[in-house]
Amino acid sequence: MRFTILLAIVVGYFVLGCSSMKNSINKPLPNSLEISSAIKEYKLLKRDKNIQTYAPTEAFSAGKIYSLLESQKDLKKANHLAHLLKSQIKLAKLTTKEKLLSDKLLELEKRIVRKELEEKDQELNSIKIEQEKLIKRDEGIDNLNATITPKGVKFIIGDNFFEKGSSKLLITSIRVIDKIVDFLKSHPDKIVLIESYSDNSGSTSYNLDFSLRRANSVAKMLKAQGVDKNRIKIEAKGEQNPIVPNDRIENRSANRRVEIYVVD
Amino acid sequence: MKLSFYLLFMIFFFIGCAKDDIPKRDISNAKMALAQSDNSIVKEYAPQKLKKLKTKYKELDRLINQKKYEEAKFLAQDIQIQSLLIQKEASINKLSKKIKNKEDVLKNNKIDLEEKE
Repeated sequence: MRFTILLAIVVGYFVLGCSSMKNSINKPLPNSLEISSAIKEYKLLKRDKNIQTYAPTEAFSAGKIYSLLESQKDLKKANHLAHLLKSQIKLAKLTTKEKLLSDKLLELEKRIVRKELEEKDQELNSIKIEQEKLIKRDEGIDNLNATITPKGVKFIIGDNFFEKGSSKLLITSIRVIDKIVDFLKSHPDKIVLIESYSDNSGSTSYNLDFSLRRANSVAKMLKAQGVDKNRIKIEAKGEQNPIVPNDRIENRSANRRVEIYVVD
Repeated sequence: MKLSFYLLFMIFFFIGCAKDDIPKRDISNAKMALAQSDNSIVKEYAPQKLKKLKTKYKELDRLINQKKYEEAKFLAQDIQIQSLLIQKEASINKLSKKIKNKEDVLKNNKIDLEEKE
């Protein structure tokens, strides 16, 4: 009997005295500036659609803290929970801001990519225009009887562009020279190699000298048209490398030629 | 005799219930949160706040040594959430810088430094 009474007293005392039971259920929610402002902020958070969309986890955690705050009767603990609630609300707001900024950054990156693509398109168009110009120019080169060889683009100034038996260029050659000069101007990195040939009539030394004079004549004309002398190289070949046998007048005329190479 | 032993057990049990214990879990969480915040992004974009957080952690140590466990618990919980906040703020600062850089790229055709980094 004595033990039973003692047991009842001790258990009763500690059950009532236990810290977790200190707060009576009937006690009202404690109030402070911190608590009321936290509750106010939480109510605003619940209405904020951006936060609900971009920070649902943080908003949910805030809701849990709010529930604890609602049931907390101890002022000190309630104040602490209110502080945590405000921090959690701030976290939800920052998370929302972070997501919005990420979206903005993504949009900017897309715009930059679009802009870069537009620039590439413009570059491509410029290249196309340049290509068209080159094609037109190449068509002009074709008219000059130009061919592409392993050595470079080759132009031929035939015997008919010189006065008969002379190194003096005829006026008709100017058109041809002009086009070669245009081509050289559009390829400033290239140089000109002038190779001059004769037929085999006459002595070898005469033929060599004859071809040299014709080569010099072409070089002089190119220089007069503004081609830098350092870009011009001359090789007099004399009667070497006939393109056809020197057995007829027409063939000998064909072999008397100046080949102009535009090379790298 | 058995009953007496039982009673003593109950007394100690309830005393244990009533007293504040060392908030080990909160302290451990606070320590972990601080470690997570102590990263290169926070160091670059929110250095002052990281410094303040470290000061708070020292304060936590002091409270534990003084056996002020309830205050320590509150502070540990505060450190946890403040740690998340500074990580978020650092991330926002970094994003803002990136946005400014991209806006400059769009406005002035400036070289995108971010891309080179």
